[in-house]
Amino acid sequence: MPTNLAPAPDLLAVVREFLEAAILRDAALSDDKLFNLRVAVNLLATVERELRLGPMANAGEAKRLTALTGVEGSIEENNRRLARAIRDGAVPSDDPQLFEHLHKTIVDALRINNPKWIDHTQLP
Amino acid sequence: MSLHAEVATKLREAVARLLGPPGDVFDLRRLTAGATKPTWTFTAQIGDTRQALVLQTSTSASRPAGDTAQGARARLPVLTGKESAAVLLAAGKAGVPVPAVRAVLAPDCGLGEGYITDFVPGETIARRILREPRFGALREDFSRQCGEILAGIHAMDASSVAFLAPMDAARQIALYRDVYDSYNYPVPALEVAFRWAEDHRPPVARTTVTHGDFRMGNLICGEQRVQAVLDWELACFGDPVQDLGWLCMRTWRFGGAHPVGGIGRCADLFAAYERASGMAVDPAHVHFWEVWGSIRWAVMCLIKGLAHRSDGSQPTVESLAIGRRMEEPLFDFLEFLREERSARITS
Repeated sequence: MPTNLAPAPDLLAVVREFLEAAILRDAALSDDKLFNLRVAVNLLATVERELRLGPMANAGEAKRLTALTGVEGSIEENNRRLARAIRDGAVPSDDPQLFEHLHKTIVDALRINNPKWIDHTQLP
Repeated sequence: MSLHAEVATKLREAVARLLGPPGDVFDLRRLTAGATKPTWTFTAQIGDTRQALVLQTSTSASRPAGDTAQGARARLPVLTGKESAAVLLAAGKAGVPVPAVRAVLAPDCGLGEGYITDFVPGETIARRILREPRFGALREDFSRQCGEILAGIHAMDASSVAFLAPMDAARQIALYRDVYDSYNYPVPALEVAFRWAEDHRPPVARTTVTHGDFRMGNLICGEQRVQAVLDWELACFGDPVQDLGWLCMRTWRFGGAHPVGGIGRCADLFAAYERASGMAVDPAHVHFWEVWGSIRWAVMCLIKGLAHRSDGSQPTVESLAIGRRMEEPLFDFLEFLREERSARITS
């Protein structure tokens, strides 16, 4: 890549911080714009985390899916296979290995989408 | 013309016609609340008085089915504006705190489906209700008030809202599974979740009017009291206990430490509900609905995150952000499952 001096997560971070500092504190914004801007800033933070954590999370999910389905396939294909197997009863829904896989996958997704959800401290 | 100017013009005509001239509209503001249906607050000149009012518009789509490229898609029953207004009137008659309906929009108002109510002052934003000192008294009493209000909702006269869809647990689970299937986006955790729901479905005990989305965020709170219950679009005939379970979900605690809206105790909620309704509350029954609530909310998040792909609607910052919240209730579901399994092993 010719122009990677500032890596993508850094670009996102700087844009997000700018929006937070320059616009989010603008008292003239209407409530609905302020709300949507706050959500948008949170989405930028999600993309930042996905860029940093996504590859590792996907690799783990792919490996576990292959172990569960016995098929080397894309995450999407194997999720489809696994969902079908659970519905048909081919993989029992109370299978411990399945549970561990689902739990790890969801925790990894939350580390990207909303890390606070898995923190033990809840109130700020 | 901007959307704001267009709404202002049409609203003035509607107010003049439905509530009285001259109908001049001031301070028209779009509220943040209502992911699916715009809400506007405004002041109107009616005769000699200025009145604070709310314009609530709703999606016009109602009832099952609507054709998409993939054929008939299962839909959740959502009330039309006219039906919501009828439910509000029935709720008011049963003593449930709701905004007074002033007018139902006519099709030729050009504002879509909807209605106009009195403005109810207060706060809906959970973050503030949970933390600001001025809501201290409300927080102390919140569970008790919710128990009494829910008992009132469940005592509403069914015949005046006969259009509500019957939605017992079995029907609800089947409908949400159909909706989930219609998106053709298989989620292994949801497969386990639906299996759990089908295996743990409680028997039908009582059927009443249920609110369907009774939770922090849909309640206008004053410093002492819950002033109004909003967002009745998901009302149906069903198991009244579902409203208790939904209210206690972690999602609607907004980071608060206590189960009822983040600020109240279950014991207070159940005791108040029992006193007001005369019906005993079985915590295991509430638990089923809380767990089902996490599954239902996960499906709702999935819909939000995927709807634009299939129905051609414009994705919004908010809708895609909600899509990214699907793992929150799925995590909670897995934690419920873990607790259930460890209880089985130790017993």
